[in-house]
Amino acid sequence: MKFINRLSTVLSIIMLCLIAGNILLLSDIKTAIQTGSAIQEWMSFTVAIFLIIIGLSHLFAILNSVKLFLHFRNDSLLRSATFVICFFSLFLLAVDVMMLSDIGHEYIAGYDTTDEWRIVFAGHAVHVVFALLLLFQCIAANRLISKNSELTTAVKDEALFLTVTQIGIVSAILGLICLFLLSGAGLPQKHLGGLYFLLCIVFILPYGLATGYWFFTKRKEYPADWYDEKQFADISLGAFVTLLSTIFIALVIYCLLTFRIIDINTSLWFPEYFMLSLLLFSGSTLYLSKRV
Amino acid sequence: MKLGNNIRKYRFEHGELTQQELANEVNVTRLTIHSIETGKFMPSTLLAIKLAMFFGKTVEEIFYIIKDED
Repeated sequence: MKFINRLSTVLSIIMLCLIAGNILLLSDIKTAIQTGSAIQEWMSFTVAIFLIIIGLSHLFAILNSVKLFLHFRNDSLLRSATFVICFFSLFLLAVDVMMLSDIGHEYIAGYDTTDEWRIVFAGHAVHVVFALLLLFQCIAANRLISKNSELTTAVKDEALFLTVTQIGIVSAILGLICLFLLSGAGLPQKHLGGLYFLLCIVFILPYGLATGYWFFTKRKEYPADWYDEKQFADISLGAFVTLLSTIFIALVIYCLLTFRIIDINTSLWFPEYFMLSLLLFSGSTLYLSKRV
Repeated sequence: MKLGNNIRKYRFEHGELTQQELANEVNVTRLTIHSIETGKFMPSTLLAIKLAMFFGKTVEEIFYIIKDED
């Protein structure tokens, strides 16, 4: 475990350096395109290599997060946030590749590539945030591993239950932020529906994987044994809070729309409702579980 | 009226059991034991009896009612 975590620490530092290098190279390429200068081949090749290594580091980070959870069997908001942002960063890595490919075609044809460059650099900002979170996670984990404290095995697991709620909260918050940023970005309406759906998939994926793993661990138990009595009580109250809150929020939005105070794209409704419900349910369940 | 308990006291008398170890014995999570000890959660009859049986005490020795004027 120590070795994997130290390797992850080194990879996160390397990732930060590669992202910084990529940003510098892409800035040079952008300047070359804008001034009409020739782009040196080694630049494109280096950017491609850097992106591949960054992508592989993301995959290793997912493995490291899972290993850390299985080792410590505790909930950690930092680990949950790193896990969710890793998937988002991986998605943006794929977006970077697409945008760079678009830029490659469009600048030759003489089109403006400003918006594509904005997306690429915004994506790299998210990669930096992820690399920093991963570094903090690895440093914190190294300290805990060094303490070498004895861990008592839990018969009734609470760590996975709490981790799933934390992942739900982070996924929902980031999902809502991205949905609303996308709504205000001024993109053509016909593309928005597909983009909302894609973003939902990206943010629900880590939550779905965590919940799927939780179901996998419970597969041999009767449903009555899936939770202990306090967890049942917390989930029930959390669901009730979610029901009341979503009705109230939907009513407020309905009134705002009816009196034309705001204007929301119809494709936004379900993704927004889904993320909001996930946030309210996960947030209230976590609060009730950890309330002292 | 609230429900008080002597779980923490009996835990220490029972070989300085940790909350996790006690939780394992009665098949609940550590957070549940912690919530019961701090009075934030009221256990079911079944769990109260399980705790009493584990400590070798009666339910009334583990749990008691705290009247509002106390």
